[in-house]
Amino acid sequence: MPIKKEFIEELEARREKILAGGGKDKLEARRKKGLMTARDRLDNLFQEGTFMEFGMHAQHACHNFGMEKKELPADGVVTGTGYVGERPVAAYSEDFTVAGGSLGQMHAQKICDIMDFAQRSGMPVVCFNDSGGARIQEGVESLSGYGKVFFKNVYLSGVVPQIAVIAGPCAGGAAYSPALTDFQIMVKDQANMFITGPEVIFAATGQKCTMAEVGSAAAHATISGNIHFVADNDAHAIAIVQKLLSFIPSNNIMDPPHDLTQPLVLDEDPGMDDLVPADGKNPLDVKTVIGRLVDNADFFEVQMDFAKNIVVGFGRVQGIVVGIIANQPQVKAGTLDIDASDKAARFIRFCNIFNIPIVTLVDTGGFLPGVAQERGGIIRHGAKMLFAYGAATVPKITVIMRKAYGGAYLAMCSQDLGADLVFAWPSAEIAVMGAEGAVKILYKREIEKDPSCESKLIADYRAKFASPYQAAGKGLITDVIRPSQTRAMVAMALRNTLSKRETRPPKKHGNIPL
Amino acid sequence: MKKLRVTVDGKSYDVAVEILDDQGKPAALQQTAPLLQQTSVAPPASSAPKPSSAPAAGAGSVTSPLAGRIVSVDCQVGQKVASGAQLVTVEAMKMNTFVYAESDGTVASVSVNPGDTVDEGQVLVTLS
Repeated sequence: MPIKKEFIEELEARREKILAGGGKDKLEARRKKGLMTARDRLDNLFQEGTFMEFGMHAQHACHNFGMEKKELPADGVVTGTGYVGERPVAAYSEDFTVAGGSLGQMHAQKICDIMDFAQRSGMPVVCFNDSGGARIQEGVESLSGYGKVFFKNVYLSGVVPQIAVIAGPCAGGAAYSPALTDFQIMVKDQANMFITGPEVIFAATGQKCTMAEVGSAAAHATISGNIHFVADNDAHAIAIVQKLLSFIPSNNIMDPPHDLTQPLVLDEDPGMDDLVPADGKNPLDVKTVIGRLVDNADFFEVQMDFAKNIVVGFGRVQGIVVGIIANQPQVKAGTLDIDASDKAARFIRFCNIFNIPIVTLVDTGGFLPGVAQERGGIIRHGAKMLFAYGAATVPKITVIMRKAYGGAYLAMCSQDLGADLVFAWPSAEIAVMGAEGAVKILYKREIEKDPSCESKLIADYRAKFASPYQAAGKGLITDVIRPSQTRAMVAMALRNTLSKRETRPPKKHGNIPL
Repeated sequence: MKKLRVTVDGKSYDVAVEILDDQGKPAALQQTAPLLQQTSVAPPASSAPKPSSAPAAGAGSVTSPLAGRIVSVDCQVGQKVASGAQLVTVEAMKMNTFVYAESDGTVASVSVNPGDTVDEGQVLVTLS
């Protein structure tokens, strides 16, 4: 006896209405503008046919201002799970065609429910933010909805990876939900994000500014450092999410997707020797070093437009997923400043949470001197790097390529900060400070008497201390290696530390200087 | 796209290699550089006093990316330079930083000499 036909018809009629979101015409209008709809985004993120929707038939909770007569399909947010690659991933996608994607009580509850499911099942959460903000008609309930989403973001932080795509407006308090996730991707031209926009800024302070200056993807990627990736369009943003997921595990108790089937290859790479400039003062491009270090030159850079004096990102070294942190001597002489410290520290902490081994490439003259840096709190910000490295229990492999001076040497994952293995190139200069500065202090009287001796003293100091052998002699370095051996040694080091386990005294959490 | 040099029987060939995925598309995801110029918004650390010696940078001004000492001026007044040409070398923190032309132009003036100390943002060269 088959099920009654009316039941099926009613279900299909309801489904059709809900799938049309704010109306088929509105969906088509978006597509014509080159924008994906909320459901298009999920369909493109997941493998075909794998999307399992949660709460499709949810009803909004507003009974004021005539809203009780309105239907808001799925209450403006599509939530569910699907497969990305081999793995299930949870996602939600706000539907701007339904009441401007505004967040009401049920909208928020659906988001919280899918996040709870993701946490219980240990799967990543991807969200597409495209919302005009709080649903004013629902008043304080909508505000409370935001609070609940924020709380879930925090609850899940460090348990499953959270990735936010800002695909449309994201204004006011709403911006704090993506800000609490691990990675933020903004779609150029169609997205903006701000706490107070140009009108409010002008009304409150009289300062004139444009949206491009305060809320655009470009502003956040280069100046504020609030986001990690800029996408050209929806499809590009989804490609970035998929690429990112290919490097990270589903949760904090799994390993990242290493490929351990590859045999260990210990061949030298003579091209690496050629990358080191003969003159130690001339900068090398650390991205070319990274390109030779990782498999297939496939380096996925994170925050590439912010604090370019440090380069961070993901790659694989002979199949093993690594997070790379590297000084870029071509920008600001590779020095560590406030922004570089913040950028690196956050990345190190992400790697540590999700069991991703850390490879650090060092070539830095030190922390950037300057009034702005001191007054901006470089002590506090630089301390974040020391804290993040010191607290990380994942395998930590450090390669000192050239300059490693003073506090910056320590901050770039020295042995003392817990590096498991430290390799130095013969071009490494590991010292407490540069020769010029050191000689001025050590030989102040001699130089006062006879200024002509200064250049010889500098040369002597440099010959003695601007090398890896002082540090190697004190047991601070595992080995001095040729640049051409780097990939082989790092690959072997990663295999040797894959079984690393380190436990520390139980505590709620450390007190990182914020 | 990666450039490789292959040597066969002593003869060198320069070849460009691109890594493709299973569908034959470029495997390494390209990231987009944002359009906004850093200079259009005051830097976040603007609460610190700005050195008064640094003149305001105008269009065509090439400024020092960090405080340091001029090692060499690598261009001359009147010289035509292409985008990416090396204009000045600044030494700071034991490292040379090369300052490049951001656009094609002619060197209209050079404001520094080797040995000078410069502040971050100070105009080194103007291009017309």
